Amino acid sequence: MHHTSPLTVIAALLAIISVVLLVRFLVMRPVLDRNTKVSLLLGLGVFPIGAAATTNVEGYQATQKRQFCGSCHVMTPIARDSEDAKSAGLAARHARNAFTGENNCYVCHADYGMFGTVLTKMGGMRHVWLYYTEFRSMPFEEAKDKIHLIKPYPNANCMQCHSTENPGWLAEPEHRSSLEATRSGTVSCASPGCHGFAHPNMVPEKDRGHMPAQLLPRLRNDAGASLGLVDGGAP
Amino acid sequence: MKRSLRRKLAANVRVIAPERAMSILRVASVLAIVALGMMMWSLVDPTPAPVLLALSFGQLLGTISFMAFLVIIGWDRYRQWRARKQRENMARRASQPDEEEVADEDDEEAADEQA
Repeated sequence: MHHTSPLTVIAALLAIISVVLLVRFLVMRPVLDRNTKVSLLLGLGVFPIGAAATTNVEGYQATQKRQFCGSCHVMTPIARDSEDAKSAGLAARHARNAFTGENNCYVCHADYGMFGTVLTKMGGMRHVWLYYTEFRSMPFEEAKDKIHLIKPYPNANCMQCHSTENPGWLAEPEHRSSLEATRSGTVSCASPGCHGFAHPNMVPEKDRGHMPAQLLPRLRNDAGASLGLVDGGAP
Repeated sequence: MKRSLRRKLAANVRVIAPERAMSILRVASVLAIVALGMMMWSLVDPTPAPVLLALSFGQLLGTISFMAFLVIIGWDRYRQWRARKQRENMARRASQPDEEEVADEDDEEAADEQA
């Protein structure tokens, strides 16, 4: 169900009032007296600025949602996999987590550096450019072999939530053995030998043979179970 | 204000006639309505094309329309100020006695003294 936020309602109200004032000015053609100036100040300045400000916030928040990322046809199957309650892919498991939820694309792919938000938005603009210039008319089956990350997925993004310091996490023998490699990013959390692929339907043809075992939900060890960790939790 | 700048402003005031100012305001209103329409579209359909249009062209058109409004109002205020100044100058001149009249009166007084 589509949820209408209060900001959307405010923006719509401000825009409607502005349009009414402006249409009245266009239709009635009044002289440029004090009342007309005040009316135009409200119709061209105050209310549209308010509407633009609220729309900016709404637009910014909209760009973080999975619905936004999945609206391009080459991303739709990936977004659909995220929404699939039966999918064992990393993206789907994170989508079931209330913290990442419907923003799971953004939370996992955002740049968390000093100018992270700006760099993430610039990367997003690059995606839009590539979509309209290369992938717009390309079928998904053809596009998925060409779409790739511009650089290896950084473990630092995983570590925004999974600190690698929690006793439950450290109790896992595989985590302990690859601790430094994980923290330095030389071993990817999303590699086939670890937590598997994030997006199962984007797995290249050559890696398909390994897929079923990798995508099975991993059994929790005793330490994790004793801490009450559930699928998608952040130890 | 420098004299040259003042002269330029005065020349431009003559260029923008009230009817032309109203036309600019009407165009600004139409631009603002288009910009608001883009913003509403992005709220109703938050997909890349509408959102990017609203955040770029929508903002641009809205800013242009508001700037046009500010410029027209500024010119109108300047026109009013200039007209008021002109009226004040004319009134001042009308209240001051003419120089020739003052000179004639001085001559008459001098002639009377001689007599």
